[in-house]
Amino acid sequence: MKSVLDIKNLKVGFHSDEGFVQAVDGLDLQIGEGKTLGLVGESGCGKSVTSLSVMRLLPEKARISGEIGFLGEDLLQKDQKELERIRGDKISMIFQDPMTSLNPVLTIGEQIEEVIRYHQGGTKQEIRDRTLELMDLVKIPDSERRIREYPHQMSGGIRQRIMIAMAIACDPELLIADEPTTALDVTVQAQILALIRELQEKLNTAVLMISHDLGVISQVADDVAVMYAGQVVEWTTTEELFESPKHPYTQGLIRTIPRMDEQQGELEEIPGMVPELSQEFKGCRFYDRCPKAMKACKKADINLLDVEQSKVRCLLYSE
Amino acid sequence: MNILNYILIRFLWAIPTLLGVSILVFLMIHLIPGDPAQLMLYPRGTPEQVEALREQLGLNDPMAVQYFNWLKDALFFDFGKSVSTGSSVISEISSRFAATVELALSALSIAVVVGIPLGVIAARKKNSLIDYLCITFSLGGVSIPVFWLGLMLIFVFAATLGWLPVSGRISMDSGMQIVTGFYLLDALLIGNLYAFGDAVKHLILPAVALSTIPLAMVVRITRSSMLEVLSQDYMKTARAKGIPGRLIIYKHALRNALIPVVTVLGIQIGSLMGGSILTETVFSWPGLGSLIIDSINDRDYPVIQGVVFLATLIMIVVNLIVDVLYAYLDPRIRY
Repeated sequence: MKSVLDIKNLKVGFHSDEGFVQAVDGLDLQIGEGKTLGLVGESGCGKSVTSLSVMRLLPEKARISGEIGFLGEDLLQKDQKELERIRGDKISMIFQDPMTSLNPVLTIGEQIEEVIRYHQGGTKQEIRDRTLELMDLVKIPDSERRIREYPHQMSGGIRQRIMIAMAIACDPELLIADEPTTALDVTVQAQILALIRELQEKLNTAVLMISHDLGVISQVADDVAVMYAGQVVEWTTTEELFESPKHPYTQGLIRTIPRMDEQQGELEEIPGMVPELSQEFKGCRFYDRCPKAMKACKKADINLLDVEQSKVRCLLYSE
Repeated sequence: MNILNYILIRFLWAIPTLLGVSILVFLMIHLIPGDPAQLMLYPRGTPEQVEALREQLGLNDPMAVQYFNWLKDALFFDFGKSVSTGSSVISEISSRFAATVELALSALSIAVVVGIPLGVIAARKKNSLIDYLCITFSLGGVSIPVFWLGLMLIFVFAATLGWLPVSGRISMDSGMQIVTGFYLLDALLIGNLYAFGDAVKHLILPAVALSTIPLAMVVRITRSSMLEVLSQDYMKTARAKGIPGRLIIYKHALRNALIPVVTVLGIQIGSLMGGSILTETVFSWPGLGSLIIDSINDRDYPVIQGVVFLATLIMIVVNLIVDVLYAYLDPRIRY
C-alpha cells in the first residue's frame, strides 16, 4: 500500500525559559492512502507539535529535524511558497476549538471560498457553487442563507462543520484533525466523528486523528499510535490495541476509560505525572510511573520492538 | 438587525446626549458668579448698557423660557451675536471652522496613513530594530509637548532652512479666493494650482505638529492590537488554509485589529475638530482653538457657547460614525 505520510525520526524542540525542550523525540509514523491513524496521548506528549510539524506551522524558533515524507517528497525541504501551495490544498487541518478557529469578521462563505479561490481558482459563480456544494456535503442546513452569515451566528457543531468544509474544499490527500471534537457536546461529537468518517470514505482521504480520548480514536481510526513524552510507545491496529494492549502505559490508558457495563469502584488512574521534557532522558520515559518497571529499563534507550502485529517500546517484550 | 436599523438606533441615541449637553452649555452662562451682562461689559459698562445687554440676551426671562429660546435658535446654529464684534456668532465660527477641519483632517490623515502601516510592521517584526524604533517613536510622540515641537519645527524648517512658511494659512500674493473656506478645496475650485501649493506648504508644519499625538497612539494601538490578533486561533486556521502571508495580514488580521484603532481615532477626531488651542496658537492658525481663546479673553459668552455646542455636536457625529465603522468592521456588533 502506498503511504501518504511517512515521518522518519522527527525531532522537534524549543528553547524555553526552562532550557531546551525536546517536544518530539525520534518519531516514526506512516499513514497509508485512505487510512486513518489515531494519535493518542496525554496533553504535552507532543501530539499537536507533531501535527503542526506536518503543516509546518510551528513557530520559527522551533528546531525541527528528521524527515516528513508526503507523497514521496520531504516537507521539511520545502520553502514558504511551496508550503502555501500545499497547505489547504493537499494537506489540510481541522483544529480543536471551532469557536475561535474561524475569523469573526469574515462571512462563512468567504472563508470557504478563499480556499477554493486561492488553490483552484474559477469564476465567482463556480466558486460559490462549489462552496454551497461543500456546505451540503458537510450537512449544514440552509446553506444558501448561511453562506452570508458570520461565525458568531452559529453553534459550535455547525462551525466545526464549516471547518471541515474548508478542510476538504480542495480534496486533500491528507486531513489532520487535532482534537476535532474535544470542545463539542457529546452528541455533536458523535455527529462530527461520523461525518469525518463518512467523508473520509467518500473522498478516500488519509486522516491523522489526534485525540487524548481513546473512545474517539476507537470510533474512527484504523491504526493507533500511542505517544508518551515525545515518543511513540505503541503503534498497532485499533483492534489489536484494545484487545491486547502491550505497553504498560497503553494498558494503563485503557484501564482509565470509565465503563458503564460493570461495577467499578474507584475510577482508575495512572499514578504520577508526565515527565518534564526539558530533562535529559535515559532509558524508558515511563519508568517512574510503570507498575512493571525493571532495573534494565533505566539503563539504555529502548527501541520500538516488533511484537506480533504491534510495535512496542518496552523491554518486557525483548528476547 | 441590519446595518440601517443599527445606524438609526445610534442616531436616536444621539438626541438625548445632545439635549443634555445643550442644557450644560446653556447653564454655563448662568453658573459664573455675578451678572453675566455686567461681566461681559466689565469694567466699563454703565447700568443702562448692562440692562440693555440683559434684555438683548434675554436674561430677564424665566430660566426655562430662556433655555427653550436659546435651544430653538441653537438648533438652527443661531447663537446670537458676538459681544465683542457684533457680528453673528455663526459667521464668526464658520470662517474658523473650515480652518480647523482642514488642519484636523490633515493631521489625522498623517496619523492613519503613516501610523497603521508602522504599527503593522512593528507587530510583524516584534522585537526587531524597527519595532524598537516604533515603540520609542510612539513614546516620544505622546510625551513631547506640542507647542515645543511646533516651535522646533518652525525653527528648523521655516526659520533656518526656509523651506516652509512660518505661520498662517496662505500667502497674501497667492491669488486665493474663498469659496468654501477649505483652502485646498477652494484653490482647486478656482483652478489656482499656485495657491494650492501655497496652502499645502502652510498646512504641512501645523499638520505634522498636530499629528504627533494621534500618530503615536495609532502606532501603539495598532501594534498591540495586531500582536493580539496574530496570536488568535483563526490566524493559524488562515495559515493552514495556505493563504499567502500578505493576504493573511491585511485581510484576516488587520480588520480584526482595527477595532481598537478606530476607537482611538474617534476620540482624537472629536478633540481635534474642536480646535487645537496650542497648535493653532503657535502657528497663528485661524481656527476654532484660537477663536475660543480669544472669546474667553473677551468674555464673549455667546461665542464660547456656540463653539462648545458645535464641538459637542461634532463629537456626537464622530461617535456616530465610529459606531457605524465598528459595525462595518465587526459583524458581532451589528446583531
